[in-house]
Amino acid sequence: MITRILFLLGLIVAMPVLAAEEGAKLDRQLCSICHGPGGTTSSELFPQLAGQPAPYLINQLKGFRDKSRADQNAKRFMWGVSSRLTDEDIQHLASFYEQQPPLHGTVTNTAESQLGARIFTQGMADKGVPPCMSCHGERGEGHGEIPRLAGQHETYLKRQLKVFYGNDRPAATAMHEVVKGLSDADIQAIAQYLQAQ
Amino acid sequence: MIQSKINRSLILLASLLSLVAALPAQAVPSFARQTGEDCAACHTSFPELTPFGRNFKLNGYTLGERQMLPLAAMMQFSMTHIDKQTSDGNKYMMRQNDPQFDGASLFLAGKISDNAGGFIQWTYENLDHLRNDGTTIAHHSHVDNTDLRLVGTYDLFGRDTVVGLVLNNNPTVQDVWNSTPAWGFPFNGSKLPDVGGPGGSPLPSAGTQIDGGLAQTVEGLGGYFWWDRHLYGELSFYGTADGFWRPLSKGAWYKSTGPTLAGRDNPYWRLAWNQDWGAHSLMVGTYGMRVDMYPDPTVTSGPTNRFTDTALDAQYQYISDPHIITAQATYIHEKQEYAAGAFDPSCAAAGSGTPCNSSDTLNTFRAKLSYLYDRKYGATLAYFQTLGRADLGLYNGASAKPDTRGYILEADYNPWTNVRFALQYTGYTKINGGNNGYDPASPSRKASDNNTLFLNTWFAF
Repeated sequence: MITRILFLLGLIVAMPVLAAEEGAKLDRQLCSICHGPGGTTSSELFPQLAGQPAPYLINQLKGFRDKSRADQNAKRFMWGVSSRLTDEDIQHLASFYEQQPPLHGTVTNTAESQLGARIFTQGMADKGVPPCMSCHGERGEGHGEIPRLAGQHETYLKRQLKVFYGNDRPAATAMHEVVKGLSDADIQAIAQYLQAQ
Repeated sequence: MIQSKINRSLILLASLLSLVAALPAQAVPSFARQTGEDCAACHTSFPELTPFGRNFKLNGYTLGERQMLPLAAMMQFSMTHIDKQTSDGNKYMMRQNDPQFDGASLFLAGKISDNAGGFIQWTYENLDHLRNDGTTIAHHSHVDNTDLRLVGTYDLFGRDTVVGLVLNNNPTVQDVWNSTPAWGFPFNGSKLPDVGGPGGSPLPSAGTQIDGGLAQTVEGLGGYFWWDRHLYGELSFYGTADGFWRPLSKGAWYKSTGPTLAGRDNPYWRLAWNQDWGAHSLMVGTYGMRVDMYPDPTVTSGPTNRFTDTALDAQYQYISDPHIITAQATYIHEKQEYAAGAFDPSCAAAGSGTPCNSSDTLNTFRAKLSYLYDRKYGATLAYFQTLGRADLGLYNGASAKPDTRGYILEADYNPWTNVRFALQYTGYTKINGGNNGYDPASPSRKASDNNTLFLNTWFAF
């Protein structure tokens, strides 16, 4: 009994000494569990956040918080986490991730990547698909409210492009029109190209 | 006859399912209501935790908004079929093929403050134990697993470190990896009395103390740290849940008083290294405890028996969409040292429960591999064994050994994240030291005669 009391007292005394820093960063304590340290992860379940433009991240986090973005994994993982974020938290996180260096994948299928590059840079006029780079930037780097696509996971990109067939991301009005002209093979090719940029 | 019972049970299950399905989407246990997250954020498949779920627990269940009434519930129904019925019928199988209401639990679970949280489970066991008449089953409601925490997050060597105090009533219930006993596979098993199988078994009787032997009969208080989401360390001390701690005890039915520990400083330790990278998560660790126990639980003085459990464990998870793979393994070594007068070197009464040796050992190994598709369809393959030193006083099989070995095959269907249908087959290659004739009372009986098919439904809301 004495052993136990001494041990617990010691632990309680040690706690304030350990408290060197008040309020550790939200991204370290919460977001990186899924999105990886600094917003880079090799898990295709969760998107890369590093290098995303801050205005895009702000829009998405607010979309999760007000539940207007409602794709399946947004509901599963982001609705709850975002519900406690203040506007200030969101601004802080967006600025943080915008400044992190993004990762780049490697080409695993050259033919697909070449087709993806053509669609990305030239579009498919006959199917009403504009060049992706016209909005997402020459190298898919994104800007403002348009997301960075370069270096994003192939599986994640494919999943999101298919989300645009429905109405679970209503804010992305342009993408709802764009995907109408894309086949599964086109989506695969675009995702293969972008993940290596 | 069996067909009509199955039909009736299916109708019953369909009715309950429609009731649960009719609940709103938020109708999931209270942690989900508190955090706003789907069950999938914390669980691959209940009760296995994801990296997010482990952090939620180690941070004291404090994420989210405190609920006014943090209540949740679960209930279970099942059917059991054993391979071979014995001539005396009731001995090995009661209510074979009958749909059963196994029981239900109520949880008071959630955040208390930004630094405190936990859960208290109260369970009604509809199939608790066999009465003295040998033919009827008694019910029992009692406090079940309890885990209460006080936590803080600090900076240690430039890394975030969660430091916490934890109070619980079942060694390893506080753990966050599903390789340790309290939350390890199998998550469920037949509750019918005298049906073999880990999870609800009188049949393979030998088990280590840390492997459920002290569950809900002890109180444990300790401290832990979780450094940089990599290193976990814990030191806790356990005592019998009596006196002030009585509310943590599930109590005992008339045939047993449960184990009585000497003092309140029986140590439990845990050290684990965790590595998450992308969709992968790996943990290797060690845990164990040492308990001093009175030979007669009703006499709380005099020399004590000492049980020292030392364990190794590991877990691997691949969590993606739609594929999830999880694997866990643990090895537990127990040294049992008996006090003078608590063993009988003359071995005068075989199978009396009094050891013949001054010390014995038990070695348990378990491993399982699970695959989950789209978080709905699951399959698990598991292996288990407990081997130990021969002791005629404790084990009355032909070899006088406790050795039990077998495997489990399970198929799961989760139509929603809070509803599960599981079909589980438990096969035995050895029970209580033998296969053919392992039971002196039934020389023709084989271990595999106890192979069990178990259909289970599990609702949480």
